Amino acid sequence: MKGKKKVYMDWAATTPIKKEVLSAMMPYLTSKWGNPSSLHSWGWEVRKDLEVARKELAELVGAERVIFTGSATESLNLVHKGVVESRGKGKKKVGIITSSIEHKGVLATCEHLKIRGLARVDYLGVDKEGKVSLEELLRKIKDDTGLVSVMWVNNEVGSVQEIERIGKELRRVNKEREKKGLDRILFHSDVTQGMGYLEFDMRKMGLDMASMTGHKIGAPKGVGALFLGEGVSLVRQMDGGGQEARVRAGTENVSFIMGLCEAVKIAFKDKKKKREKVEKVRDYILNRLSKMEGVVINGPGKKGAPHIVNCRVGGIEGEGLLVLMSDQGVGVSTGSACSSGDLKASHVMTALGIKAEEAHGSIRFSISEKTSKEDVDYVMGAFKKSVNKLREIRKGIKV
Amino acid sequence: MSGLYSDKVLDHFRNPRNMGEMEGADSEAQIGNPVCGDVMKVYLKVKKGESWEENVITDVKFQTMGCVAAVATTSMMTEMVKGKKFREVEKLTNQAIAEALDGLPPVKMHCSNLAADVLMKAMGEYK
Repeated sequence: MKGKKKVYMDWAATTPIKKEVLSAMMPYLTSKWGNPSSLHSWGWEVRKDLEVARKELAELVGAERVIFTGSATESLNLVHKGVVESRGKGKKKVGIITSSIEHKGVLATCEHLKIRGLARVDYLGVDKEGKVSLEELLRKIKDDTGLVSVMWVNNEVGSVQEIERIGKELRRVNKEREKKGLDRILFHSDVTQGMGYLEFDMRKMGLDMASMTGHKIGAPKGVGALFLGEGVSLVRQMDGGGQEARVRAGTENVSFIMGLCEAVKIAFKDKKKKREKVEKVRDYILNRLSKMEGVVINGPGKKGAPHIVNCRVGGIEGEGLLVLMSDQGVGVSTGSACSSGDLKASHVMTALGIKAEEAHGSIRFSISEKTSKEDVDYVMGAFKKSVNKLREIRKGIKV
Repeated sequence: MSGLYSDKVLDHFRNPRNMGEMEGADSEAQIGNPVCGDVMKVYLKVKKGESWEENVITDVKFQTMGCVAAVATTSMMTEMVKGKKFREVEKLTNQAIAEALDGLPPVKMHCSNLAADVLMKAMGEYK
């Protein structure tokens, strides 16, 4: 592989740690190694830095409080289980409304709560572009509804939900509910894939809670955050000491937390400029794909997130395509059932109305501000070559 | 997923043996299900023997639509049966083909491992 060109186009899966992020982390891996809960100078110096970073992050994203976790999945578990336990108190079922294209961290957690009789879960469908309908959401609100959870940017197809519009409507609904003596509906969003390139302000978007992870924006894997607005109470899911305002026990992973805070700061600087740059490259990919025979775009295309493009190739299976592209130094991902471990087509593809036999050939290209048009040219060349090889192997098969 | 495949599986996927259409085949068969994603077709050239068991596979070719395992198992199968009598290959199993490839990930054993089945179908249809 030495000297061979390599192009990573799987930035929605994970990203390398940014240099500045690593620098921000280093002191807490070397000199400032104290336990922030300790009542001496070793602890105090770390506690002080940690709380400053937490406060700065909260201000940056418009949160009242920030709870650090180990991943977006942990944040999602904490927020859904925590709200249901706080609201239902184990005595009544709490109504949750979520979408059918959420990350498995949300879907599996909702199933967990449903199976144990703690929640009643309603799923919102999506249109061909992967968007939920506000009308359907409002129709599904019942007296017992306690939580609405809709992801901001879908990780597979890049559809962007109108969070601000939903937030505004929920505020209106909550005013009416207050008069009737009903519980306020809390609004949560998995904002993981939006943090890099879209403008984010929890207050403006009307969010009570938001979950994210660091490794999609240049922080290390293994650290996540949960942003909380005013008046949100959660029952903690990790029991133990009193860390993280008694919402998540366990000694803080200080260096990783400092890395996440730095990564968000960097992401929020010149966001618009970065977004426009990435969008141009995305549009170039869409343009190249539109010229390829038998390729169909899945989801919103130009109307979606700046960094995600998803397409499918008829009669081709994604797993083999990934191996052949990897042989040419290209990293992308697929929603093919054959690569999923449980052999089921991706739930996102199914929700978009794409049949299982078509979902097999789905490929996601995800880019960053580092991706150039030359990279795209190289990847499209490898893509075409790989598709042609698989077409040659399947030639003669009629289905 | 490819990290779970043996070198032999990846080799047969990258360089499939006996791949392509066969003109004037004496028998051919196709099995699979596009919903599952794997469809395979096999072509046989047969030298007629005194009985069905004595028929000889003088040439074999395959075409496959599907994942890495589906392509590799059909490719391996063709190598295992070329030049053999029906009697010698009628007991060939999908399991034996997987073993010849140094194994398959467990999840792939049922869906993509159909190469012996398609061969038996083509042999059964040879008149």
